[in-house]
Amino acid sequence: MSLSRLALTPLRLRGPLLAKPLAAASSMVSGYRFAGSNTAPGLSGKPMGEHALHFKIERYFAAAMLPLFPAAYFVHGPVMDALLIAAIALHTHWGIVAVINDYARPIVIGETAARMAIPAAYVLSILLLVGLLHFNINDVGLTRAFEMFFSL
Amino acid sequence: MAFVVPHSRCLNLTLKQVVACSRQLQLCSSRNAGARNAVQKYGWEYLVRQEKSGRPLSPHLNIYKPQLTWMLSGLHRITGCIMAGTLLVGGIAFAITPVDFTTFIEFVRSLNLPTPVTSIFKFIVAFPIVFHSLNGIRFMGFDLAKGTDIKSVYRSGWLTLGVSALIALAIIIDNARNKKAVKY
Repeated sequence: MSLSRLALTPLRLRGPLLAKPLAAASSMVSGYRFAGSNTAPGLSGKPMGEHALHFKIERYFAAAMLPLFPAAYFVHGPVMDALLIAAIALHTHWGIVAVINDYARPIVIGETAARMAIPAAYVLSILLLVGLLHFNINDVGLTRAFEMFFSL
Repeated sequence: MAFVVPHSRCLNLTLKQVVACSRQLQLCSSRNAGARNAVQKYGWEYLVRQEKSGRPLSPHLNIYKPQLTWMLSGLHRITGCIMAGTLLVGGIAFAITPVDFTTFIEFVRSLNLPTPVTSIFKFIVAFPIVFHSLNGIRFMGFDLAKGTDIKSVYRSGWLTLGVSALIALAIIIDNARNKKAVKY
């Protein structure tokens, strides 16, 4: 019986229909773990267990950089600037990659554009870091910039 | 209900293939265009076929009822993107153009904008930072499976939104009161 016929029969009538194939399939089913293993390759070819570690690192890093922002409200200076851009650059990089992975998909922008999207995300992150570094070294620096902006 | 039929005429796949595919548990359907398993290939071809039919896309964001859950999630992402975009554009612009930040601030100061106007801009700068940070804590709580029942989600959501607005407002009020002329 095809899957569509099975789906269309009301639930109360499905019992007798399921009994035989269920018995036949149970021996096949029992051997598998349907949740899948986390060493199986993911879409990018890497083992999926690695994503779990990356996810954890992202969250631990975000938690660690959290106190930096209230501190930056009170403490200014080049050291705070450096800490801020280190935290912002890495956190934003992961954010940009996540957003691009979510929206720059083949069905949305086409296959070639989607393949170029991840390197483009890296380029953006590098540009961000370069811009921030230049701002801190050759311009006033982040905390001073906020001081000046809030003095307007 | 599991796939208990040995042959599915709908998908033209055998049970063995379906199980083999689901064992890979590939969560993202079409992120990498190259590597597709049988089920994803079927899904991709389905989507391409539907696009070719020229039928309009079903309404999605425009009909979904605004709810605190996804509005705050969207706001979290949007504030993150706007802050990142501002830092990116600002950083590169101040690097490659002859304008430096001091010149820019002097120019804005010369516009002699009234205090309410500058306060609004300062709020627009302060709120995303505060909201993204506080909502970040809330989302990390969700990642730890804390406070995920719907009552707590709504409570923490309103709390985050309210506290962010209050903190940003406090920053603005404190700034308006103690505005010192910065000498540079």
